[in-house]
Amino acid sequence: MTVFFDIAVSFLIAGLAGMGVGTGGLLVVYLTLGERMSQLTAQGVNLLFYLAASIPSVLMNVKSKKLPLKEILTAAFFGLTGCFLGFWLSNSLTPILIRKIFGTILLLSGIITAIGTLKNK
Amino acid sequence: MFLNIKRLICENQTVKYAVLSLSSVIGGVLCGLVGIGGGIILVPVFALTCSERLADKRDVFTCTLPAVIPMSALSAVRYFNQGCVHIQSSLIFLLPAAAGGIVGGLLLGKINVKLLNFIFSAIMIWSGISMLLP
Repeated sequence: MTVFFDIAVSFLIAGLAGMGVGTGGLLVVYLTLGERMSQLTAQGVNLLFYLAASIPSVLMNVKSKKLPLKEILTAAFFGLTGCFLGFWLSNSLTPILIRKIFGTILLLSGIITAIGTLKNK
Repeated sequence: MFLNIKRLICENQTVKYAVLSLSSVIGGVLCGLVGIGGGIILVPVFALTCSERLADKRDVFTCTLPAVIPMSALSAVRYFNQGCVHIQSSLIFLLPAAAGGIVGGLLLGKINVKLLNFIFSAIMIWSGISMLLP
């Protein structure tokens, strides 16, 4: 039953990612609150999950589009730089504090998404 | 006010790339720190900085992913090296993720995502509060 639930949750969250709604780290919430996985392990699984869910969608939808390459390369370069800063920070902070930061990000992005959707109505 | 800022970002290349670079650093920090993709930051920033070329929200999403995937891949490698990722136990989530991603990709552009956005934001707010509680 748990295995079936894991598969269903993964499929649904990945479906949202593929449709462009996003995953918002929902798998981390499921793994930490539902599966009692440690915060860092759940974050690691979430990253692999994100890659598995988003790469097929990109391959399917990117063919016909003219990509803004200069912007993408700029974002990737500075994003990778930011990742190293994030690694350094994660070594300095406790898992509980990281969990609180994660919760705050989820809460804020949920509110912003809701407001944005209401405004576009 | 917002329209003036948007015009400034779109018309001035220096400002545009400064905003894009700074936001990407923030997205990367979040990716490395809390293990999220970084799209939370970069999707709205791409929508703003590339609005003249990416009119459709779905195009924005498609174009943001190639920028976010390297960040997620780098962070995943780091988590793996730290022993935080067990590939075998992750497979139960990864295989349905690939299938769900394909189905979602096929549905991209074919369904109205407004209702999904509402449900998604409600789940995120609930999840955020749950994570903040002791």
